Amino acid sequence: MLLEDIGLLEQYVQELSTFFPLPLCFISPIGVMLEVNPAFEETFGYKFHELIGESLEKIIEKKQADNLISKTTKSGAMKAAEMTLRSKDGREMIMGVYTQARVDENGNLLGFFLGMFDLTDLKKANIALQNLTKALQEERDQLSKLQEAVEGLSIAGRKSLQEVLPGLNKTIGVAVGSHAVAVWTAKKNKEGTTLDILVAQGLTKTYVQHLHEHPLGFDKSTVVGMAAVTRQPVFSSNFNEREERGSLTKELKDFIVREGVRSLASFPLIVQGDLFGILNFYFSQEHNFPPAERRILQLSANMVAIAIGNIESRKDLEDAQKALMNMLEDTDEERERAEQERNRTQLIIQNFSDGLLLIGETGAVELMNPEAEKLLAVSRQEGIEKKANVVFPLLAEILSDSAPLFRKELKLHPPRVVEVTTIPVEMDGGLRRTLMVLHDITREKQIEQMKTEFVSLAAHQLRTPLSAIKWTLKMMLDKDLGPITNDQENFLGKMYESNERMISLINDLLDITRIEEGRYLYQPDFERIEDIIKSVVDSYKEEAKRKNISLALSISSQSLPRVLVDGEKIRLVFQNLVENALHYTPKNGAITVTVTLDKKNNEIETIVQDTGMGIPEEYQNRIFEKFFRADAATKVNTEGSGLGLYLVKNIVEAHGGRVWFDSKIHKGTAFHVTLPVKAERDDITSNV
Amino acid sequence: MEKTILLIEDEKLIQDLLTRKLLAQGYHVELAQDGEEALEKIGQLRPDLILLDIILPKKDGMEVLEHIHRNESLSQIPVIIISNSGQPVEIDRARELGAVDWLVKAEFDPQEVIEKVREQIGS
Repeated sequence: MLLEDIGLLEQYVQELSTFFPLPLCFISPIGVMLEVNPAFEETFGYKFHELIGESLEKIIEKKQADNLISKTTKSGAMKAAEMTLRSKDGREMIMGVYTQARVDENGNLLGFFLGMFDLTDLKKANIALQNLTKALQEERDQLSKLQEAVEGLSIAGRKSLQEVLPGLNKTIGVAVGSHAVAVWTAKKNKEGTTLDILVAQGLTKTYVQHLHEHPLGFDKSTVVGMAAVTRQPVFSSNFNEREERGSLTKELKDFIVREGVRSLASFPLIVQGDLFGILNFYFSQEHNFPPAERRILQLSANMVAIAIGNIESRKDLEDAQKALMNMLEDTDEERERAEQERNRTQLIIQNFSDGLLLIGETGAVELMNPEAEKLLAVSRQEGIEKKANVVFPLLAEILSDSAPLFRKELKLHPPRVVEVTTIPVEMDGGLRRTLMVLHDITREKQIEQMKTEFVSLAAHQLRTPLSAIKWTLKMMLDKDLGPITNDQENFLGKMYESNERMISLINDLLDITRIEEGRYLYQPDFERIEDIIKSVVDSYKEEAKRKNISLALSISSQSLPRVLVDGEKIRLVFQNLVENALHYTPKNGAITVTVTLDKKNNEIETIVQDTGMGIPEEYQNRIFEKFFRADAATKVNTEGSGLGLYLVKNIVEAHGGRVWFDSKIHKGTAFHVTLPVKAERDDITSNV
Repeated sequence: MEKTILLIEDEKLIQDLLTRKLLAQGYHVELAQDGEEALEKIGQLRPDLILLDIILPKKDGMEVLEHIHRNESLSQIPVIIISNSGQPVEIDRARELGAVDWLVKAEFDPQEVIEKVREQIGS
């Protein structure tokens, strides 16, 4: 009976195990699988013989397996431990694992029962649930943001389109991520209907200008057109798609790319049953339009439609249109103005009577006008962008000098002579260019030449008869031509004096002719002014001795810089001053000439001081006039022509200097002459 | 021995006056009316001093001066220019060519000319 029961029990257990739908396993104390049920085989994909005798590690990662064994050994059981098990095909399954130790009557461990159920699907479901919750939360946040935005945009009270649009862009735009909005109107004209841009916010002027110049057709070829025709909103997630840009002009397409418009939402604006136009939202990124967003955008469009409907009279619309037109006109005007300005400037440069050259920092010719081409005998094609000193060898020396030039004479191909002025200019971010002006003085130089020749000839022609008269009279007065009576001597003497005056006058007139010519006859060079003055003083030493007048020269001890002067003319100045001093100082007087450097004003001052008769106050302001001679002067020196001081003033001022005097009657006179000290090229220090 | 002065001058009046003065001083005076005659006479006479006007017919004074300057022996003779022109550039050139003085007739009288001659060669 017992044997039968055991057999039946075994069979029972066997059938139970076979039936049991969840994986069951019996493992040895060291973790070797001893028994497995069919469900186990199925779950893990192994056959019976592949598992029996194998370690638990075949299906569980080693650490986890060890953990399981030690835990079970210690506690006798393990309940609901989440573990990751591996099937034959490498699939990982998350299982809830249960173990139960089995001991014999002596308490020895026989092994463990191992049971499990699959948590994988549960887990997946759990994660899915979490994600869904998150998504729902996000959408809720988004919605509440949009709601806030909508609430912020109040349409209580009458608002015009101009007022609504900026707000719309700022709030809704920001909320959905659109960077610009625009409203188009449907315009009916004889050809049909076109869609014209009315107002825009957030788009560049040039884009709006362009849209204005290229109104869209009332057809489905554009997003806007589609919305207008179908009276349904159109969403374009990626504007690059060809179908949507099919009918746009190339320029517009380029514009769109440059504007950075990638996505677009177009909403028809129905006002009082009619299609007023379209509201566009522009996005700079590719944009999918989730339903919540679509709803919000539609709400905005409705708001805009209402705002339009709010317009009491057409005036508001006209104002909106006017505002847009003004904005565009400004652009037009600006452009026109800029062009006019440019044309004007071009006109000036092209027709300028002097040659103009613009030389860049690298020494290349950037600009050249027709006059420059003519003067330099180089065409613009040959010159532009070439290195200036290569193309214009005659200018090379000038160009190598960095100091600015003012009217420097330069000989070009004979007989051309020009005055070169260079002006450094800074434009466009500190790039240093040089503007060169070439002024043609060929004619002036030729005239100068003719004048000099004339002056030379005139001098001779006029002096010849006068010297003949002079000599004859002198010899008669010296009695070389026979005896003469006292009466005759008297009259001959007067004739002689008159003649002398005439000779002197002619000399002075000829000098003035040369001086008054102006700059072209000046040949300035760097000279030691003290040497010129010394030489002049020396030449009068004899005459001074004869009148017993002391004539002294004092030059300040520091070494004086050289001055840029026309030596010949400056000599005339000092000759005149010293001669005057001698003429108008009585015997036993004193004349002192001092030369000093005035560092503060950067000039050299010469003072000719005498102890002579002085200049009466009433004549002092006329002293430098042409032909002026104070009465007393005539008495003392009959020969004076009255031109001397006029010449002095003229010459000194032509050199950039000044001349003045202090005089006290019967005490003496001091004439002051200053000459500016100009930096010589070699002396230019780094401060310049 | 009398010193010989060669006076090269085309203006008759000046010739007369100056000759008178020079003779009165005890010099022997030779005359030339133009540049060519001047060159002939210089070669023939070998004067002690030459008074030379610049503006002359046929050859002008500068050419004469050049000729003198280039000639080794002739260049020893002192030359005083007496002229009524006088641009600095001309005066400089004359000095370069060996002229010892440039007197502007309108500025000097015959007596002063004599004194300059005396300075150069004595009486």
